[in-house]
Amino acid sequence: MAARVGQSSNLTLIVCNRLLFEQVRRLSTSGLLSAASWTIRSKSKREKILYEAPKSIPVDKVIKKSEVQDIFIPQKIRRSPTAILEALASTVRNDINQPIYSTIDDPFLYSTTDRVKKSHLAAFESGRKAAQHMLALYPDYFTQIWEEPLPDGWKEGTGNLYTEPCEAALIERIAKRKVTEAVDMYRTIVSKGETLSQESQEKLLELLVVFNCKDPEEESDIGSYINAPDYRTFSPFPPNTWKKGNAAEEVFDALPEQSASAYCQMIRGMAANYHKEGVMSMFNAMKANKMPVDVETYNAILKVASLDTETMDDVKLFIETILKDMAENKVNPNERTFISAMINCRRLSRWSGSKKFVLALLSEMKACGIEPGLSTYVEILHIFYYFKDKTSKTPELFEQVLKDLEGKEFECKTENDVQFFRSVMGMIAAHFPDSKLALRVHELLQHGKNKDLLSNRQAQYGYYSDLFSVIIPLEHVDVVMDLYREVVPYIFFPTSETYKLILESIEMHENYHYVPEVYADLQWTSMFKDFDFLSRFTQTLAKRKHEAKLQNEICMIASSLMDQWATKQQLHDALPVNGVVIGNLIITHLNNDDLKTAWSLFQTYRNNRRMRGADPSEDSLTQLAKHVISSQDFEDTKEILHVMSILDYNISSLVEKSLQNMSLSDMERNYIQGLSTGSISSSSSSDSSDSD
Amino acid sequence: MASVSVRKTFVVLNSRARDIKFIQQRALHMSLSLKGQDIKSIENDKETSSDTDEFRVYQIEGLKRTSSVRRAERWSKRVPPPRYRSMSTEQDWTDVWPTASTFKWSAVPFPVRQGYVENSSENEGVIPSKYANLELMKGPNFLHLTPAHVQKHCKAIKHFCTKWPEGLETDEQCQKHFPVESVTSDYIYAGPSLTDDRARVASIKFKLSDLKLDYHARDKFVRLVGDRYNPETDDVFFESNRCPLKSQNLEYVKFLLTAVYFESWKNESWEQGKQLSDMETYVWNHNKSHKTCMSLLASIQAKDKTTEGELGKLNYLPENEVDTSVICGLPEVQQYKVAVETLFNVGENMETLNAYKMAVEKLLNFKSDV
Repeated sequence: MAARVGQSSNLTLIVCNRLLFEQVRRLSTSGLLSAASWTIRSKSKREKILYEAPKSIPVDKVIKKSEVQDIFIPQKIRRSPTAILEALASTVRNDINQPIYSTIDDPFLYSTTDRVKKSHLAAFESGRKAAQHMLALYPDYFTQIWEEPLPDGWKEGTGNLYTEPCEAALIERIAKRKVTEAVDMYRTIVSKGETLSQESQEKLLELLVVFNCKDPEEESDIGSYINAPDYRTFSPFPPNTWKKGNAAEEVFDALPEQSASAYCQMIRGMAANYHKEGVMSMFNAMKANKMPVDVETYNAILKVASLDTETMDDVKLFIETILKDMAENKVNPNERTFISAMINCRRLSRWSGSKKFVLALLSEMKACGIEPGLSTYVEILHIFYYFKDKTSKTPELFEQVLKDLEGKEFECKTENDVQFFRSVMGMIAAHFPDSKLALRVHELLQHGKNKDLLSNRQAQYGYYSDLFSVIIPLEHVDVVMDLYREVVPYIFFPTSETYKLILESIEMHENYHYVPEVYADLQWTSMFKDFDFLSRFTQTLAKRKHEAKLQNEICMIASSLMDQWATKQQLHDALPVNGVVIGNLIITHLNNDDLKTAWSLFQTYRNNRRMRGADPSEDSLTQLAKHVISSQDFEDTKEILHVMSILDYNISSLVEKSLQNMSLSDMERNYIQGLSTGSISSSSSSDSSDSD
Repeated sequence: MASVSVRKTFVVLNSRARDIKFIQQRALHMSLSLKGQDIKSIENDKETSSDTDEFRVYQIEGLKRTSSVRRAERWSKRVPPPRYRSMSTEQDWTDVWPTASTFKWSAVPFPVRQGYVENSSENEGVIPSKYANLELMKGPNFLHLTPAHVQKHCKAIKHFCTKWPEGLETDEQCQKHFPVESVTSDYIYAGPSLTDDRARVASIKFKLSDLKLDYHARDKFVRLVGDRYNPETDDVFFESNRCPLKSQNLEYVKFLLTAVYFESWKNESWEQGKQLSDMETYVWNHNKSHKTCMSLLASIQAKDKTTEGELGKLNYLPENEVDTSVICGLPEVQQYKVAVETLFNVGENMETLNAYKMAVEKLLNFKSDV
């Protein structure tokens, strides 16, 4: 039964009211309905037979009341309409190292590097926009989906319900957030001489100040993910974007009654556009008329405190006056009040006194019983550890903040919450590159749903590249590679610089078994087209001799690199293989005792003029020569010693070795001896160039 | 050897050239009537090639490429391997395929084939594998509803569930305490409209034995509900979709139950006219068999009184004359009655016939050896 309840979509058990049935029986047996018997009339004999219901069919099973045990059904647990969906959504993790779920999951479209990720998502986004554009252009063509009519939400852009100028039409446009249309409608109504209610005019004013009298540009989720947000708020002197005499001022002036809420709206709008003069005149007007100011408006005023003041002391004075005014009027401050005040300190963070003042604000905040959130800490840490500030810092305050936050789960409450992790990691990388601290911050990020606070694509990229740059040189390569596996390649793809650090770390800890893994991620990117990186990578391959299995894998990597070069050698985007790389690969193959491949690489180098830009290292050629000498092949020995002598490498020991170990004719002996003296080198080099 | 082979090829060439010439002449004839220009060009060719020993070759314009265009090799993107190849064997599948989605070949780590090949010339007779397989994309998949997923979902919504009430551990107990079971359904799916016609259907189900009914009422009830009653399981099932709302439909089926119940208790005047042929079952008391049995027993008893000896006498009958109802109440007669009724109602088979035989033997006091 329990299973059935669980499975079916909705199954309700209903209590059957037995008492009702008892009552019915009493009614029926009281003579109204005599049903215990019936008569049968026999047609042929013309007689009636009274028939009593046979007792042998007992269908009545009466459960006595005493038999029925009381069943207690627990109360339904109250939940919001979307609670189940939210619970189910919580089972879906979005921090798995795999392509973003909304994108197309196909090898050809895997977006790895940050740039590719951006272009893929932007293409996705513009496709959507194009579809919406088509829908708006030809609404008549899109009336249904299969057989279903289009939902109302999709028809939204197509037109307005009210076309004649009236109050309802104005409200409709306000609801649809069509700013310019609403302003036009307002002007038409006013020019006709009709009156509008105070309420709808205030609504219009709110719309105008929120969007600064411009039609809002709606950005989709993908758009806000791939594009960086506007950081203008924190610039020391943000430009005033409030236009004097704009539609909002027009509406405000024409209001039948300039109420407190209208004033508040205007102040918020002006403050959002950094028009301090206007804010102050409005605020003074409110004070003169003794109007109540709400907390959001106070916050807006605090935000613009530092815009035209000269010194930090002025700012301090201003903020203190406003806060005192709030206290007098018994307006309770909230977290945003203090954040607004701190933004001023951040703008002027280099001025003396701002650090002290911001700590005073923090203690005031705690005294007011407000728990500081991520945004507050963002402001404070920015003032103390601004990443461009090169003076030396101590991490005490930083550690204190981290200690406060550890083990907590945060929600996005204020707009700057999403900057926390990015900026904190930036500060660690800039001021005190301490891997333990970085890992602690990363652990905090992993806790609960904190990962959602990593904000947009750029912040994510910056966070991880800072994290890797801090921990790779300091942590053991195992720790690094664990983290690497979690995020590379789909969440974050390191740059070639980071990869060089990883290779260094692998070499330092001698954990070469990570090399094939790293190569698997790199081999289909364009990373190897960078010559520096290619030579660095091959250097790691050639570093030392490994056990047979690993050495075999590493040789396969070397061969794969040369295959990549060979298939595209005639094209411009071939791998930049040159002598240095060839030298490294020769050592790699010699480590595997594969003289044949090493020799073919040497031949490749000999036959390609393009590779002559850089030469194989002396070490690599010496090793190759030793192998060739031990294989007793005079022609090959001659060739390699010849090349080495051209490159001015020291070959005297090799010549001696070949004379000792190889069975040579006198002529061959003379030739090789001649190579070591260098007398032949000039003539033979001209020979070789002719032969080429 | 070499010279021989050269000669041979020469001969072959010659014979080919002859054929070619023949073809050329035919072509010449045909084209004479078509285009003057072409003939001229052919004649020119004739003159120029007359110097050589070989037969000239007719060049069809545009057949062969005259100048070779060197095309740059296209830039080709290096495509990474599909990611199923780098998946760990211990990964959590619910993370790879968290929600419903079209089949993605690169994310599925097991081999799967689907499609139809007509003959061995098509795809070498092998059913197409998962790579770019449209057939796999068309149908819905349940890769997002594996047992692991369901377990995860159940864990997530478990805290919305209350404890199962005590005393309702078995289906029988549930049936006893909650005799009426009503079923309604909600439909959720991704589409332009949230409404679904099927959601308004409501039904109730209950055991007929849970209602207080006498023989007549039960019979009438069964007749009224028709095929909504299942005699095998004793279930009555009311379903309705006639009203626009679910709640209305639920109310309606409850009304149906009430109405049918009261209606079946009513005894209408026309029900008095029920004939023997209208009876739904064979009732012994009303049939001829009853009368015959009574008269037979009466006559046997009369005869028994006259004869001597105990053999074959019906001792169970009361000695003095009594009403037929008393005789009917006798166990032997009752057994006979039941046997006859089952014989008619159930049908003739070994069991019923045997039972009938036993009843008759007992009724008439036959000895088994007779």
